[in-house]
Amino acid sequence: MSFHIPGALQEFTGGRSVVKVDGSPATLADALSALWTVYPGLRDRVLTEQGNIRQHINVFTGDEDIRYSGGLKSAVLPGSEIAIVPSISGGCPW
Amino acid sequence: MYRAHDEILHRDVALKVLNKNPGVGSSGSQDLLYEARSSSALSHPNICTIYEVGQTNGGLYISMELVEGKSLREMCTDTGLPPESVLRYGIQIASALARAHDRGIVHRDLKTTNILVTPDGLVKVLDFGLARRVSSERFEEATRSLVEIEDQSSMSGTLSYMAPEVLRGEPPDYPSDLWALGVVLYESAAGHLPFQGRTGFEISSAIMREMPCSLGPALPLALWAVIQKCLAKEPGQRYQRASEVQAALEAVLSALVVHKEPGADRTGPRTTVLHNIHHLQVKKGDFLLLVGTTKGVFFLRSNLRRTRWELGGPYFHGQAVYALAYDGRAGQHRIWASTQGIWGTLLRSSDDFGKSWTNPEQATVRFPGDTGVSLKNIWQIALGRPDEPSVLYCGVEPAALFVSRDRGETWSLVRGLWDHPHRPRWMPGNGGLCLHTIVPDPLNPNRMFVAISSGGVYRTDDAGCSWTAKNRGIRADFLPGKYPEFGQCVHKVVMHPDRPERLFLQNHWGLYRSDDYGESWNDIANGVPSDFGFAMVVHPKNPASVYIVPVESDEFRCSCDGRLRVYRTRNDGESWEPLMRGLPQKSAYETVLRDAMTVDCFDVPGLYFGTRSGQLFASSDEGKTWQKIADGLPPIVCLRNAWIGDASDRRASTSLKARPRSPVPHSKARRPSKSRRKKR
Repeated sequence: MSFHIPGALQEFTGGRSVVKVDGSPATLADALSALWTVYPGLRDRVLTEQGNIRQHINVFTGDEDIRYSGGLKSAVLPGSEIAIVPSISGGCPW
Repeated sequence: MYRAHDEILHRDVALKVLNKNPGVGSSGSQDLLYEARSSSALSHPNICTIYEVGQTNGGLYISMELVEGKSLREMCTDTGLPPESVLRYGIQIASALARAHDRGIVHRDLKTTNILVTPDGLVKVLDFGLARRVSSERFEEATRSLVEIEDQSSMSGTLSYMAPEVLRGEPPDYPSDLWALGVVLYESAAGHLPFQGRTGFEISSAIMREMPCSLGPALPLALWAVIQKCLAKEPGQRYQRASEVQAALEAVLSALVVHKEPGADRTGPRTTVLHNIHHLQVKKGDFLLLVGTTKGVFFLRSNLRRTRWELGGPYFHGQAVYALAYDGRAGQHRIWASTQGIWGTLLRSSDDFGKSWTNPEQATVRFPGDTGVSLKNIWQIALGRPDEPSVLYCGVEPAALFVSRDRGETWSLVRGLWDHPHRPRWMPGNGGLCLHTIVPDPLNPNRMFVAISSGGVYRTDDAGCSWTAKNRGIRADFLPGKYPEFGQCVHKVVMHPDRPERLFLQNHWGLYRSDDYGESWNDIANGVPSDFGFAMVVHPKNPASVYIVPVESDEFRCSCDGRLRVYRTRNDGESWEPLMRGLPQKSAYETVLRDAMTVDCFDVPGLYFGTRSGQLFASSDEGKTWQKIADGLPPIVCLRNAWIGDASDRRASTSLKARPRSPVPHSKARRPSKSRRKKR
């Protein structure tokens, strides 16, 4: 499976925007765990210490926003493309 | 070496088990025990701490600080580390050696595999003292290994760090440690050892006779000169003290001009070198303002006069920085910053005035899993007492206190406060449920105050194990009972270090003073246009003098009547006087937030505050006159200052320019009108 990494986090992937990780995860949580194993610096940027995806970060499997497809329990198919995407911020008081 | 857990003190430790060595014998074991015990007396942030030494089953074990990190050898790439990293690590290694030498301990086995670097860039030198007593055996062992080396055509790491005089048979001493330091610096910069060979004989010959190869133009000449002096063949031609090496490396670092191509000088994900920003070249004698905004950090540099300012930054583009701290304890110049953005909240530090920042892979301040909550923001970074240079505190949102006892390397939640029965009933203020103020008692290591919005003031008298609400006399106009035990929306608490029993408090409505360690509070809003405000600082020389910036309460929260004024009391709050010369007095609807004001420690103290509109004002005469020193910054939420020098310099220099102060009349007492105090 491959992961699309946003620019702000490429510091933790050696500058790579797309990284491939071996494995056959059943769920998105498993897939992300495999990603953290290879690139441990990504975990705390994407998840809170309680293991939830941060409020303003979106994760897509293919074109599907996982918030609407089961969250971290979403099924992941072999060869899936997973994208970590920061939200567009708007309405910030600052 | 094992990773183990100390079940009594509930901490992970590194456990080194020394098998019984027939060459050492029982007396040798006792010597080794003695030396390990003596080395445990070395308390230094760059020296791995030995907790315990003991015997079991005929062997020795040593329980020591568990350091998570990589050895310097592992970190060195084939082409070496960037000069800044070599300098940063070298300074810490030299500092560790200096401490050991001061205690009469020679390391005798310094090498890159004996030096660990944590993810935050903190160096830990290992095996201090162990090498000393066993040195004769080890030297014999190393000498014997020459034969083995020649037989096996392999290299000996230890041999490669031996000084020429040691190879000649002289006992290892301080200069031989400095030689090894030179080898470590060279290896760090080059990625390979300075003296190489296929056999032990060739290595020894190179050490004795050859000069190390130059490392090319990428290495600053000044750093190369330091390395060469460490590697002088004759001990007398080297530096004579490790502290001299440390000072030389610090001088090189401070003079280093950072100008690199984007992408260069990356040491991996743990240190971020920022580009396309203006770095200040900070030198000893400079004075700095650290400005935290909702969009990043700026620095302003000046000198003793504090009249001309150079703006540096921004660092952490787009991230909110609500907490900053400068830690000049133990000879360091470390700046701490909390960064908050969509990728979470992180605690970062810089030892080179912003040219590079730590970027830990794992957040160091984090709530344990059983709490069920996640860190939202760090509102305060506070230093421990001067005699505890390794101690730091963080006040965070949701309201909690974290402590570090290893210079910010690791943090733990203060459970005594987190488990307080009041905590579930604390309510968030407008800025969130945050612990924003930390006030350690400088004279009592067990006492500390914290302030929480909206929880009130809490005090511990047993070093954080238990906490008691200390809010008697403080109003909470927004609650049915106006004087509850807790739940007040405290905005800031200050204490003068000479008078820890006396506290001043800026409340959400109300100015207060306590003369009994917070047991009771008295209203001192005498003569201020509003008792609502956020920022509050205490005069560093006069414990009776406090500064505030009142704002019109409650929904408006801007300077009263469009006039930006600082108010000062010089009599413990009996009366307050406005300070406005140089501040806008017309159509100035400004807000100064709780940590956006700071005071320096010069003989004639300077005051500084930043506004939510991004203006920064400074006074070098205790607030009598003001000038705007920056404009157009993002909203300012935090302001701190740092004097880059030592106290004797400061006193000598400022005394020359200190002007006599004319007395300022106190304004007549006038309490704010009740109509201004109505609630929300």
